[in-house]
Amino acid sequence: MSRNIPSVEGIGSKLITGLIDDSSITYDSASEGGSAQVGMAVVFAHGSPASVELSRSAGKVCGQLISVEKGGICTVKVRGFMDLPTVSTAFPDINVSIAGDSTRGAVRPVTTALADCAVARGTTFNTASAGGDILVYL
Amino acid sequence: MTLRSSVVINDSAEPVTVILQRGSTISAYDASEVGGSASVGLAVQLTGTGVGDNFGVVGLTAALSPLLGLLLSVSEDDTCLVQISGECSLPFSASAGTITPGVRLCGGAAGTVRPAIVGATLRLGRGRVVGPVSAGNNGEVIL
Repeated sequence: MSRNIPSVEGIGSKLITGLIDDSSITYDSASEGGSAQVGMAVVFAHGSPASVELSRSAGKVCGQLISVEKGGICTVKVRGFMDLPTVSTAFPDINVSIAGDSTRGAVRPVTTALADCAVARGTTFNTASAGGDILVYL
Repeated sequence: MTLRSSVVINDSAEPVTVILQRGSTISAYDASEVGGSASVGLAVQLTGTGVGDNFGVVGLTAALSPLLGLLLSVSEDDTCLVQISGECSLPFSASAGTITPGVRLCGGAAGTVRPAIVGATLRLGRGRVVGPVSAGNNGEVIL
């Protein structure tokens, strides 16, 4: 007997709302989801008010930008499975944690450097070439 | 008296489970075992990609391996239910040394876990030890 294995899409997802920084993330009514940055990795920035911005080089990744509304309110997936973009670095192995890539909004595998260990998050469930998407559980 | 904001209830510890494929280090389905396998209750790691790109194969953790979660059950068709988030009880390696609440974890030998506190294991660290636990025993963990 065999059965199909259900997709991991949506399992354990947690979504929160925030306010975009209106700099690295901008509203665009012509883009799917309300922003050209939808789907990219984001981080929460300290400030008044606190805002959501694209992930930074060697920084922590807090989630994935899901949508942006007119006025700057955005939805961020902070927990669950998500396909995050890579740019310059491949993910040759499963089972590794991620950090922000030098290209904002993209991710890369963490290294053994202590600074990377401090920001490491998530577990990768597949492999990806540089420029592809990597499936991560945050 | 100064009022303060309400405490926000953190529900991040609620369990999340996924179904993955059984790897060779996990004991095969056995109807006489609780949960369908002698390996149920042990710690597991992701050991390969399965059907398509989105599904994984799991095996028992090994010394200084990554940690994915807790094996909850094995089915007749070789699918495994794995808890990957939330609070659970995991077996600690007999050689885990002193285990301090709050430390992150990596794989110990044969389905156990140990603190990820040395060298390259630092980047493998996952979850947190919640309460007091000694090497060789089960301890509460939040993944």
